[in-house]
Amino acid sequence: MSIETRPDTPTPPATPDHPDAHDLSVVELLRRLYALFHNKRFGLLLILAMAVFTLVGVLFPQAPGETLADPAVRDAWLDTMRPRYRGWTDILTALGVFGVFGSIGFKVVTILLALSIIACTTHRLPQLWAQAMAPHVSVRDRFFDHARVRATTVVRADAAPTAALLKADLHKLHFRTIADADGTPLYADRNRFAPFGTVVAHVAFVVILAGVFVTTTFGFRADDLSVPVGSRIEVGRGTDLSIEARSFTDSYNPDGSPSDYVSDLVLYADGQQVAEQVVRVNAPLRWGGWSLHQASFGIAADLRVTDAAGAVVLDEALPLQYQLEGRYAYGKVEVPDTDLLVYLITPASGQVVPDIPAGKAQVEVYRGGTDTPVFTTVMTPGEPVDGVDLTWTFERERQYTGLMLSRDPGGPIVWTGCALLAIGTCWTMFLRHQRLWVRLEAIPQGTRVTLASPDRHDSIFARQVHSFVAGLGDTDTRKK
Amino acid sequence: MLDLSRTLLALATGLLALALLVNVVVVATRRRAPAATAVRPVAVGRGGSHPVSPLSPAALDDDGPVTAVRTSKRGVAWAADRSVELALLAITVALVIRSIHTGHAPFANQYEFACSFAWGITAAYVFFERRYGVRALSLMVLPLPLAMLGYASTVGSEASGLMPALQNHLLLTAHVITAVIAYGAAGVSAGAAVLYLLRPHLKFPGLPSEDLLEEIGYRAIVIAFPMLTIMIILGAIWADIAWGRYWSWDPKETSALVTWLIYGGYLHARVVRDWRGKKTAALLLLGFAAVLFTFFGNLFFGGLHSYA
Ligand code: HEM
Repeated sequence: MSIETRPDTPTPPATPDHPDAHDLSVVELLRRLYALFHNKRFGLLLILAMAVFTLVGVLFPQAPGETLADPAVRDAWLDTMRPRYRGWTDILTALGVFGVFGSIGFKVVTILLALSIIACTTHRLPQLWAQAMAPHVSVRDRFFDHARVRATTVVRADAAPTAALLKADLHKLHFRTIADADGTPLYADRNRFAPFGTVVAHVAFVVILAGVFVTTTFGFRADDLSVPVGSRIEVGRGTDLSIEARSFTDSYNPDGSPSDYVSDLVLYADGQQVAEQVVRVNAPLRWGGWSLHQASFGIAADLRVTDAAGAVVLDEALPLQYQLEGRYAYGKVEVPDTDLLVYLITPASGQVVPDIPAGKAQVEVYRGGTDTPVFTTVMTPGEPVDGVDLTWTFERERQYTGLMLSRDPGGPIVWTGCALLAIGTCWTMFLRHQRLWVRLEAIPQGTRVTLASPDRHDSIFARQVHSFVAGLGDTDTRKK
Repeated sequence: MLDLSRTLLALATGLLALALLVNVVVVATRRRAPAATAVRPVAVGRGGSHPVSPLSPAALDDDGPVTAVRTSKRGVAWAADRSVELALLAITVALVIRSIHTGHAPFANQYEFACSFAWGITAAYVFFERRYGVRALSLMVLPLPLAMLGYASTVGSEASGLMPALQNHLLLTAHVITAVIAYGAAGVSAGAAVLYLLRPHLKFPGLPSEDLLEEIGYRAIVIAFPMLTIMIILGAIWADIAWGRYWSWDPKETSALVTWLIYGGYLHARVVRDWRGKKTAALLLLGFAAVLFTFFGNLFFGGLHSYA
């Protein structure tokens, strides 16, 4: 298949009409791919393509979390978009605009961008190294006539003292000089390692992408943990953690805007207390790679269910975390070992509703998958009610604190990448590799000095070069 | 205290408007110098340097020598420059007073951020005007802080407490200072880009050369890009602390990323042969459009940043 695996006999020269004449070897294919990836135009197009994808993600609402993965949830979510996008909704959905960041296109562009950055950097590194360590110091005379920055002056001295003077003055400005065998400076530069900042910035971007990959692949996140104040819940989901909320306080400014949310939390691992902390929005609890964040808060209802024999089948504080028409707050739970789904509904805070008096709660019990409740009643706190062979007690309402538990092995990688990116961009942008080629010519009046740089338009540098050169013209008398 | 701060901002608005007006007149009425009095870039020195490329950027990068540049030292143009600097001082003091009064950096709501944005652009303008002396730039750039201050005067200027998520003074300050510097420099780059694109169609003498405008646009991004980078990283650190994840594709952070990618694209476009020139200037404008969109985005989309 590839040249290397062929027998050592020379391949017969292919005639132009022979199809194999145009065939690619694997090496050649790879070489061309590499050339494509380190092509600056291709890289630019990838950056811009990523910008376009990202822009689409800003312009259109993005379906949260796993919404798009579950057809039922997805349709419900799309229905909330229909009033806004009308007939376009399905077309936009088909185009993937509501889930840009999970789309194949976005992933492909990201991967291509990463490959391109790697190719650019490996391709450029030897050039940068050569430019810093072994620059081409001798140039043709034409160069001095066409370089962007050119300045010339006549020093009334012979070449040797002029060379010494020039070198000394350049060193004062932190230029390094490279001279030929007899000490005549040919080239001067400063900040020669500045271009390596781009290498750091490029590597950084790839490191960040790698970190994000690790986060999304190996990270853990539970952002819907509701812990009623004064109780302890098991996190489950493959962890051995449980969380207790001792208290929760929300406080407000005089103008009604919130000023603080504070939960007093205890974390248990394997039944043992491992951490306790007062957690605020900007002060999460961190333990053993886990982070516990304040995310929300609300009211929970304590519901107790017993069977005919008096055994407790359910005893839970149910967060009333969902809203209905802005007037009702409700929570739901499945009764263990049954097919019963329970909704507990109360008036939303501050709302007066006709069917549920303040302080009471309505219970609705559904049998797996059906739409009509098998049992429904309004309950008074502390008074047991019988229904579907069980006894239901709504004990009381109390506050719950909504927490988010996460574990992110990608974090350290992302932060390393971020540090490199910040360093790399500042390094590249704030330092500048400045290069000057030098020509000394003996003329009757003395020595003509010409400095020239082919680098981009940089009027500040040009000005410095000119005043430097003008200063040289002065110096010859100064020295005498 | 807050009243004093508001008065100072009004004063700054007046000074900026005045400077802009003067600069419009100065630039529009500038004439070519008679050849004899032309300011020639002849460097002094015994041997005499023979500059074959620009010596003093503003004066020499032009098509021809221009009188307006070094005729009378203290004319109206000089006064215009001082009045921009005075305006910068007034905005600075106004923001400091406000911070002392509210107890936090002036970045907590749209009003405060608009004033800070105005500060950023004015500061960046003063920096570039001092470095390059390109007066024409002010025609494109000064309207921006004026518009920001005007906008600020239409939104409520009441001091508000900080939302719980914003209560991290160090990060809030660092995150938004970098944003303000980045956005200010981006404003200058956009001004330079507009001039660059208009340059071939404008017949005024004494406009800066395209090369110099390109340089200024780039130099502004040299400041803006690292600041944007740091701003986004600080935002990610903060999000990790406050929300438990460093990135959540929140519209505001995502549009900051769009801005960053556009400017990243710009930096690379400059080194791609047939992208240089008009296309790179267009990217600068696109980048600034993204800056404005990020800034005003709250008006269009909700999201975790919607408290701003
Ligand atoms: C989004 C990811 C990228 C970031 C953050 C990034 C960052 C940078 C920065 C800050 C510079 C310095 C620009 C200047 O000095 O004006 C730079 C230069 C450069 N980048 Fe990138 N870059 C990225 C992607 C790429 C890609 C995909 C390629 C390859 C096609 C590439 C190739 C280059 C090259 C060749 C230069 C040197 C330009 C010159 O000659 O001055 N970069 N990059």
